[in-house]
Amino acid sequence: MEKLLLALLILVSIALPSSSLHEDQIGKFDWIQRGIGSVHLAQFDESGSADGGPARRLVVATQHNVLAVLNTKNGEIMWRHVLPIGATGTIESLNVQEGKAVIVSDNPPLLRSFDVLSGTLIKEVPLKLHYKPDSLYGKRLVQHDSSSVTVAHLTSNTAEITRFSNLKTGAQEWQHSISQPWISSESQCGLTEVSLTCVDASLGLVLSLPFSRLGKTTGKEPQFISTSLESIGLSVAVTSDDDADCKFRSIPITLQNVHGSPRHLLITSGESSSVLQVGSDGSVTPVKEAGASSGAVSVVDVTQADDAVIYRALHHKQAIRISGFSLALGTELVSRSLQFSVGAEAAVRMLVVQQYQRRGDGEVAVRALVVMHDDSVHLVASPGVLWLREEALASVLAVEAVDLPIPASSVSMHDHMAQRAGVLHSLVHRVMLQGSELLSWLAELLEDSLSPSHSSPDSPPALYRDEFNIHKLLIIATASGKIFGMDNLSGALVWSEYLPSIQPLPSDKLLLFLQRSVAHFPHPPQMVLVAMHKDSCRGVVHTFNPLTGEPTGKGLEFLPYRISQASMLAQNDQQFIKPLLVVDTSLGVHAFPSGTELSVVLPHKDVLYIATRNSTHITGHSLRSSTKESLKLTPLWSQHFPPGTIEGVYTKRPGDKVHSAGRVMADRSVLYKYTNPNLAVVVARGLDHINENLLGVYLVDLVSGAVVDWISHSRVSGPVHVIHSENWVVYTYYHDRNRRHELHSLELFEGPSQANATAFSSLAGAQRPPLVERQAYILPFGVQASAHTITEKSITTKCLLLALDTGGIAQVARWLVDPRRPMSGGGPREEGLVQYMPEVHLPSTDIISYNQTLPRVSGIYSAPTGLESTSIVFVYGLDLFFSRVFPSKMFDMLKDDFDYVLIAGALLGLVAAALITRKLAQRKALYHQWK
Amino acid sequence: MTVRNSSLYSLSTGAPKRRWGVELGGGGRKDRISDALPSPPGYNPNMQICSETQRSPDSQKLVVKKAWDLALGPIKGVPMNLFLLYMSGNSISIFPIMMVGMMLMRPCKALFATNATFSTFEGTQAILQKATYLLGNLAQIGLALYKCQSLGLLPTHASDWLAFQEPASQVEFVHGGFGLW
Repeated sequence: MEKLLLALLILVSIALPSSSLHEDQIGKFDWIQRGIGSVHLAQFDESGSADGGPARRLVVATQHNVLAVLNTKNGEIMWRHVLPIGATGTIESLNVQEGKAVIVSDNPPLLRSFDVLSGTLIKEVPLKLHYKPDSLYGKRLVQHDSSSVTVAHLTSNTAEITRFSNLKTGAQEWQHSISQPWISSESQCGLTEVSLTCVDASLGLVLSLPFSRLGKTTGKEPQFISTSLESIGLSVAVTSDDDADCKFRSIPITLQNVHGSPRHLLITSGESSSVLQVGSDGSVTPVKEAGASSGAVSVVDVTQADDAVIYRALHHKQAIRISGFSLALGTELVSRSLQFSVGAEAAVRMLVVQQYQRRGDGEVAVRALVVMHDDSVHLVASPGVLWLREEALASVLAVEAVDLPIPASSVSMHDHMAQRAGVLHSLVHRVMLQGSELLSWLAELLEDSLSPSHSSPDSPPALYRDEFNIHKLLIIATASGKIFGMDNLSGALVWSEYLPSIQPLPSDKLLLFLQRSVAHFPHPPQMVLVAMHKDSCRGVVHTFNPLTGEPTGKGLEFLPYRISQASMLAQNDQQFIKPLLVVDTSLGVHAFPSGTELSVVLPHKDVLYIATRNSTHITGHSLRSSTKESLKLTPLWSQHFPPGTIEGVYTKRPGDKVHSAGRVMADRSVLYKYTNPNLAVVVARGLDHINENLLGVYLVDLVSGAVVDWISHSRVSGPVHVIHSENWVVYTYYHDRNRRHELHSLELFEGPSQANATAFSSLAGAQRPPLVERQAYILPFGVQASAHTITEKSITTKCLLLALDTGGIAQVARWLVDPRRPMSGGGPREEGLVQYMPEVHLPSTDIISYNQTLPRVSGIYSAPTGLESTSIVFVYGLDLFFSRVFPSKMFDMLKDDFDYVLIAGALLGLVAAALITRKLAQRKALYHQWK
Repeated sequence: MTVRNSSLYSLSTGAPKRRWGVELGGGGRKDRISDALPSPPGYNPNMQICSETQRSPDSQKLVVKKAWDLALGPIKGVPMNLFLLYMSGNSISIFPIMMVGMMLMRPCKALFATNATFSTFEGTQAILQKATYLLGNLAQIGLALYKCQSLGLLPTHASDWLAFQEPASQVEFVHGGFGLW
């Protein structure tokens, strides 16, 4: 009997329709773009080119702790290693020799050697330090070549320098601790192979400590050799220090290592820069360049061949010129200069040059890797740019999907649809417009047939909305200040705009708001980016057209205050623009665009809440005391959230739709949902009295400041990922005691009756507290980022989208983590609920990224399409991944393998058969009559 | 009595095709000949035949009884229907649905055809009969509706109207978030 059951079970499981992707569908609805992050170390691998030709591989290390090898032909990643986040994975130095890429990571200092060709780890040597490295409060400098590694650790007043010369065992050669009053963890220092060289702007000196002076014994304190900045020909740019607490204030003078040379340093002050050569006795001499520049930021590469050549990249607007300057000859080598132009007006951040013998004539040719401040990576040769990688896309901070416009021929139809009219009127209107559309289509067809070579193949395909509005434009704002418009179906970049003067807000955020969509023809769509100025840390608002990237209105606006809060209102003004409210740090309110009629803001009972970072309080402010002339905030409530600092406030997505007002119970009564649009989840973390982790989760009505419900989890640590939608909340955390990831699910209900079915007010009288259903589940994986699917009308069931720490993107059905799953089998069951099981079972067919691994996912963005069943998903992080998901399967669409030919054939055949048999039957009847 | 080949006759008169016809009454051109013949004995052509049937009081009673039978039919059917409904159970499957459908359709149709049904019966009790008939049919409909109710087919629960409920409008709006500075 049991065998029979088992057999039956197997049969059923085989017969179940698979919801996953078929092998031939890979890449049909999805694409993936691999990234490496912003490059800070690079070296050409010259071992692959036997006859001294151009290198085939390029080894790069990035600020995202990625070590990768790029193909120099096309810029594709040959392999990459994603090292852990934080000091453990930080790559401090890179040295490529004899087909091996040797890196030194920061803390603990590890020397690792990789095979360039295959990417395998050849050896790993720990570098033993005799002091306790404290990377939190120090600055580490690493210099290494094929035979030795030097590590310097700068803390306040002290510099620890350690030299390792045996790279097989990691044993020290010597170690010295130097005390100087001017040394701090912010000191601008550089390690060369012979010295530690620092620059101190307040002293106006370049200070250099040659290692030859340190000797083997630690006797008296070694002395720094000082050189005045004037003798180098630099002056300290005086910056007005009015923004003293601006964390990111610019450093007046910087010292950097130079790629390709262990004896040169680049000193930059303001706009001018100079290359310093450090002698083995610690003497610092500036290199005299013929074309030394002022007025352009430059980066230098020195190649130690027969004669050292300094390459300097100068940029003038979008044109970049890399010129070589021979130290031996003292002249510029015109034949080795490169010129090219880039799309964005960005300065060069890094330059790595390779000289090689050209195969034909044996002349010396030059190839250069140019990394710009917008994180784009170019490989340049004499013909121009060979390839380009936009590595800004590895640090995406904000994404917004914009609908594409409708073709001009049918604009008229949608133009007037917004007008409210009677059913009959709109029907007549619709029919007339459809008729005119048909006519215009026919006219187009006629025109096409008359002139077949109508469209030239060179012109890029115009971006228009497709039938089901799946084709959209993704607007992506990145940490480098570059904004992209990306075609969501192909992943191709439509436009890009670099804003050199902005940086992310201190909470590492950029805010994107779509103020006006494309639906308001002839008004162009409008989007606004909220960011911070690089130097002053004051607010910046950039208004642009999301379809083209061109600035509209005032474009880039520099605000005279710092931004504390920015959010978009829900109501349109006369121009169909949703105004942006910006709150400065002294609680002044400003509306954008600045000419906005305040009447849009005022009739609504708007509450603005602000959660200060690293505090335990949230305050709510009301706009009610504003007048027609000016906006004013008055404090309304303040709420304290123990046990520690507030980690996040998670509101619902603005415009979150709830399709069904309640849930049908087994006895056909209704359990009404508690759909408070002003509800937020506040997560606070702290320690309890025995220093165990404590997590407080609060459900707060942000209008009244009332805590609707709260839970305290003891021995629970983060990262906490919260998904909040409709009337449910799902959050994931790590349970310290059980040592596993868990998922907590909450659902709120008003009860069997509704207080007010037509309107929801947080302030309406004495409210009953909602019923809160909760259940916890065990997750077999950790979570990197989370989101939920969004569809147009929210009829389709919602799915949770979880980026797993194993690298997959999982689509978890909501019913699987429903808090109303019954504990025991008894009693009537609600529809679609199975018995509670603590483990969340995740079949591999629910991994929408199938076998692709996505490391370091920082966020998931979901947007609705014109099809109710379909939602688009964009996953960003180090890599970009786009896909479509169908949470309730494709109920409103035919499968893409639907056999149209067969169905049409069958239909036509049946019609034909019916006609023929009718004729035959008629003939037969006639014949029968004549009989 | 004349017996003739009627095919010849039919050609002249256009009567239906008959191979042989036996004409008892005579007619056509031969009428004049028959007029000359004397009537058979006992036949009086001028005598009017009047066969008025006199209704007996018994048959009158019979009609009333018949009408009452008809009027009480639906009510008499109720117990049987009750039994049938009981037997069919409360599970939703094709047979109970068909039965309920029939049970609902039949009395409705009957109600619309009430006047036609009673047109042949006339009498002093017609109104009473019709009322009874109506009540009976209504009882049948009620029975069918009760069955619908117990099958759960009637939209009497709040959950049945849930899909038509508009989402509640928002009175207050909240903005803001984590402090950006």
